[in-house]
Amino acid sequence: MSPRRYRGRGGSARFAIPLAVLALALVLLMVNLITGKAKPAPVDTTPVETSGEAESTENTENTESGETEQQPPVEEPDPLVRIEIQGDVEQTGGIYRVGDTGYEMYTYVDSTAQKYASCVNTLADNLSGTANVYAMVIPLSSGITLPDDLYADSVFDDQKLAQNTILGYMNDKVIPVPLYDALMQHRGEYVYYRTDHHWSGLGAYYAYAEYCKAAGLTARELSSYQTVDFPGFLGSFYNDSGKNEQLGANPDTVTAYFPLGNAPMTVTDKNGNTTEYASPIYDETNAPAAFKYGAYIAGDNPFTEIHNESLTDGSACVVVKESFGNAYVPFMVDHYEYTYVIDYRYWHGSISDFVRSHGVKDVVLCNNLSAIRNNSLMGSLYSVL
Amino acid sequence: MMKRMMAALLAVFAMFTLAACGSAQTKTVDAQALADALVQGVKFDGAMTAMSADELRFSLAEMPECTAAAYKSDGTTKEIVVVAQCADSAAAATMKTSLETYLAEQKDEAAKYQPQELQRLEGAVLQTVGTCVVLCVSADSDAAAALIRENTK
Repeated sequence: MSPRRYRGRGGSARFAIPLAVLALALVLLMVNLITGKAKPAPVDTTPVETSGEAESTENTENTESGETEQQPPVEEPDPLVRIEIQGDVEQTGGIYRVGDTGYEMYTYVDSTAQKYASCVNTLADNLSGTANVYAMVIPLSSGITLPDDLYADSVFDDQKLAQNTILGYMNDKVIPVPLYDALMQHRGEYVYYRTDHHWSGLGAYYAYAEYCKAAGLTARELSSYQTVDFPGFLGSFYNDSGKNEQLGANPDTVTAYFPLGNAPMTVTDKNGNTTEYASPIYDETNAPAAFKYGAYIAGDNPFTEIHNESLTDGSACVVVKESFGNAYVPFMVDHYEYTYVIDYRYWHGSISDFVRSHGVKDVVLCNNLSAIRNNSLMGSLYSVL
Repeated sequence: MMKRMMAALLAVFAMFTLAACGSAQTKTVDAQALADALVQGVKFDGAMTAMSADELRFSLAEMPECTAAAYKSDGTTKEIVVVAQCADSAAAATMKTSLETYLAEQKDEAAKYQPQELQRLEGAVLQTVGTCVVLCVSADSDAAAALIRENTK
């Protein structure tokens, strides 16, 4: 081995290691650049779960851009009335029973909430300059009347936060009608049914009062309504719990509130046939226990028209709803000559075209939180914009 | 000599086997044609109308890269047809999961408002054939399954 060759070999070894390190660093840098430009992750549709700690829960969802959205910290509601646990607690599927009262378990899904907001925004954009678009996001009983000590349970996401997040996604053409605080102020009253997932007529009244504030209308006093009671209501929670004995032993009473004036109703069914009714309040006296909620506008019909004959100004509104809207609609009747009701799950057409062709000035999206986390329903809503 | 002949035969056999595998992997389904065949060939109780791509995207938790065709009932039933020819097996798996979520949501809704539809939803046909995912909720699940088999052979 020649000295020259030996020296050359020793010289190249000195630089070999640094060169190798530099090469490795370059490779790592290139890999980082490549993965940094990778396609954004798809929207995470995993339902948001909280730790159950009301003051410290932090929810994150990936947006379509791949960025992580941070929801504000959960604030524990500060109700005027404290609700205690009365009776045993049991979970059956999606129902949480506390004594004689059922609650629907709720988890917030941000991707579906964004779809809902997108639909409402699209409708508001379509109707800009033509009609006002109001959005009310209806809390479930599990967000309002659940016993206070159970709010920390991980099966219930914060519904005030959900409402605020959803309304926060609306554009400036949408008029939000927050309901959570108003319902919480009345949580000690009969604002939700015990045996069914719906709110009561009284709960819907408080929502109507909030709408009136947003719309610049004067809400009628609750005491001014003539009412009718339909006792013996055993709703969805009773049926879905396998007809739980405690729920069955304390059925609900559906209280319906009549509009002031004469207001005949025309209902269009799924087959396009129409039926006339004297009033938006339907007599369910002799109905089976599960059907009493049908007292409100005779149930879930694709399309309903209510004509307040005491008004002749041509005023008109549209309520776009699922079944929670049924209890809400009768309160609108006193303020508009025509109240049109569209159940987007079963109706086919274009709300935008309908509004333009019928001279409608106010459109109310009356949708509950359970529906807003359902992709298939959002597809149905999208299809009728 | 025998060994050489056996080796040659095995090589030919392997060649045909590999070719068959390759053709199964690259086989794609005409999503629109299959969706049309299902709507026309299977009994549905509701009136079925085509869903737009956007409506389908809104209706599903996640919509992977695929060519899809869909029909939906008029609301009187929970019937639906979705045929999605996906880009690859990962997309197909995502699509299947989305359709499973769709079915679960429909069952939740049906339990509250259309309990008579629960049995129909329980009989839903949801299949993955290669990278094609098919969902059919109809009045005749057996006929739907048979038609899917026939059209994806």
